[in-house]
This record gives sequence, structure tokens and C-alpha cells, in this order.
Amino acid sequence: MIPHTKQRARTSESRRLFDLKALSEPMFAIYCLALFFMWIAYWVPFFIIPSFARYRLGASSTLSFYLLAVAHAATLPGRILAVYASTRYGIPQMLLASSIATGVMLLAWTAVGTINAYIVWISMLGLAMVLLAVLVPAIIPQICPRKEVVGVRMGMAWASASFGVLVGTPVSGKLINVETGSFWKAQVFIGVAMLAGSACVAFLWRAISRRDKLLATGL
Amino acid sequence: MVGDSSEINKSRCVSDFVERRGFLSAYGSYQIYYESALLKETSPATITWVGTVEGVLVILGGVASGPVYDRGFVRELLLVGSALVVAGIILLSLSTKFYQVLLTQGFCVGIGSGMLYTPSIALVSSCFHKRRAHAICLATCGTAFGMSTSVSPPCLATTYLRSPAVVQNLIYYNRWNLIPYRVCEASSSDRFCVDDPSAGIDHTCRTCHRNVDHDTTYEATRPNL
Repeated sequence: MIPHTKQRARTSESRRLFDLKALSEPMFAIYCLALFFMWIAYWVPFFIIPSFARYRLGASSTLSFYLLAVAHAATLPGRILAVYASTRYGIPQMLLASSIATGVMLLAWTAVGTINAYIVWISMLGLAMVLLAVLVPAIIPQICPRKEVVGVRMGMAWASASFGVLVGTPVSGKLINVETGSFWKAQVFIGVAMLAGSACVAFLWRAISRRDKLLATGL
Repeated sequence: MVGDSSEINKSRCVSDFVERRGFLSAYGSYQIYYESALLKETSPATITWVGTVEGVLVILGGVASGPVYDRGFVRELLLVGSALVVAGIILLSLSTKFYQVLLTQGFCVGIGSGMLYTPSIALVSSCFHKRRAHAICLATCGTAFGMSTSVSPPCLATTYLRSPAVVQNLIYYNRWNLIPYRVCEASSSDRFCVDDPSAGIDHTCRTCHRNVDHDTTYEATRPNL
């Protein structure tokens, strides 16, 4: 069962793992900050969707397991939509729209009280959230000065996202009390984190459009 | 080993995504199972660390495996990554304590999945040139598929939740997910790319004469879910 994969041609040039100088570029720094905030919130719903259904709404264990599948099924139209919408309206605009929508949806989670409402909410969250996952990497080439550094920048951006995960899920785990069914603290926490991320995206969009305008007049 | 090379590679990459992201996306199911059955005495906040460690390692592993892939260690990445994931999931089925679950699902599967990150996305990109975005898009659909295959066994198993002895089946059953995954992994090979005239054997981009995966990072559809 050994995959007999051919060795790649080795290249003399090796890619660097980190480039600290990149963080002094305002656009890239804002982008890393936005990823950090958004990824505080990103994985939390996927981790606690079944627990919320079970302990807060009193759903059966079978249904709570299926709700996660519903959330992922709802991402399918979002994946297709993301490609067409971003070519039509622009990637930063769509990223801003979807992060605001996700933040609002996460705050609206506090108002969900019945199973039916929860299923509708989950579908809408899946639709809004998957746009983030698809569009976030697509924006990197736009904020890189040269094509060669895209790989390094991508790695650094994801590293900052992983720090967000490291903060977000344990903190929201602490904020949840399963026995009393109290989830609202964690919901507000991730909702506010997502909105903070979308504020950073708004700054980024402004910076990108200003730079593009400068480039257009310079030519 | 017959068939269109790109089909084989595509199936391999779909199966990579099935395992890699699907397992993490389905973590909520594991969380509630640990809370309500397997690790009842551990607090839910502590249990969350399993998913956190796995999520962080999958992302950071993807970052770290990029330069390793660039230096030509594809086979090593695939071998070590697959071995870690399989060992982690099989050992997870035997785990009964929190630290065991953390080590197997958190660290072992997390590091292994991180190692499979770059090969799974870069191989699709290097074997498809005309319709690369479509190919990557199809490969990432493996995530949703993996999600459903990881979740449906728990769904089946919950009907037996009242009987503690059968509960262990929940994780145990998940071993079967590995079979299609391993078959695709073993039947795939980078060297089939040779048959494909549109793909260069040395994975050097014909336009910029650089590693193709520098190019693939431009892919708008690089997935994250």
C-alpha cells in the first residue's frame, strides 16, 4: 500500500517560511489581523452546533448529529455562488459582505429558540460562512507586491488564522455552560470577533481601491 | 493501474480532502459524543482542546509542508502523513481517557492531516492545466463528502447510545472510512502524469519555469473548509 509517487524535481531555490518585513506593509498587516479575528469565530459554530441543539433546544441526539450535515450541505450553493459573485462584484467587496453577514448571523444565534428556527439559521449561516473560506485565499495575490512572494504570504496569513483558532475555540468553550444550557456569552464573543474582522476587511478594501486608483492615474 | 492519469489523481485528492477537512468539520459530532458519553467526567471546555489542537495543527501543518513540498519530499509527506492519520484514527477507536483522545485525534491526526495539505492541493493543480479551477473545485467537494461520511456512522450509532458497550462502535465504525481513502492513495501516482501531455513531469511551470505550486497558490478556489 505504498504510494509510488515520483520525487519532484528538486529546485535550488527554496521557499522561505516567514518574512517579517511583510508585516510592515499596512495592507498585509491589516489582512493578517482580519484573518485572526475571523478565525476566532470560524470553527466555533462547527464545534458547538450539535451541543447547542442537544442541551439548549432539547433535540434528540440523532437530530443533533444531522444538523452538522445540514450546515455543510448548505455550503454547496455558497461555493458556486462565491466564484460568480466575486468575478462580478470584486473579491474584497464580497469578502466584506460575507463577513458582515456571518457576524450578524452569529449574533442572531442568541435569538434562536426552536428547532425549526435553528435549522433555518444553520442553512443561512452555512451559505454566508463558506464565502469566507473560498474568498480569503483569493485576495492574497491582490495585496502582494510580486508573484514570487505569494506562497510565503499565504503561509503567514494562515499562521495568523491558526492563532485565531487557538484563541477562539478554548475561550468559547470556557464561556459555554452545558448544564444550564447557557450559550449566549460564546455567541456574542464570536459574533463580535467576526464583526471586528469585517471592520479590518473594510479598511483593506479601502486601501486596495485607493491603491488601484493611484495605479490607474499613474499609468 | 489503468485509467486516465488525471482521474486517478483527482480521486486521490478528493479522498485526501474527505479525510483531512471532513474529519475536522465533523468534530462537533465527536464533541457532543465525548461530552455525553465517552468523557463524561471531563468538562466540555477541556474537551474543546481536542478540536482546537487538531484545527491549529491542520492549518500550521499546511503552512509548514509547503516548503517541504518545494524541496521535493512529496513521497515522504504522503507516507508519513497517511501513516499518522491512519494510526491516529485507529488508536482513537481504542481511547477511553481524555489524554488519549487529545494525543490521537488532536495531535496525531492533526499533524498527519497538515502534512497531506499541500500535496493534495498541488497535485491536482499540476495535473490539470486547462480546467484547473474546475478540478480543484471538484476535489474540494471531497470535504463535504467527508463530512457526511464521518457523520453518518455517528448517526447510525446514536440509535444504540443507550447501551454503553455499543457506544464504542461510534468511533470504531469510523475506521471503515479509511478503506476507500487508502485504496485511492495507493493507486495514485505522480508518475501517471507522464502520460498526460499537458502536464510536465518535472512539475515546472512552462511559462515561468518555477515550481508549479507557486502558481497554485494563486488559485482562487483554494479551500479552507
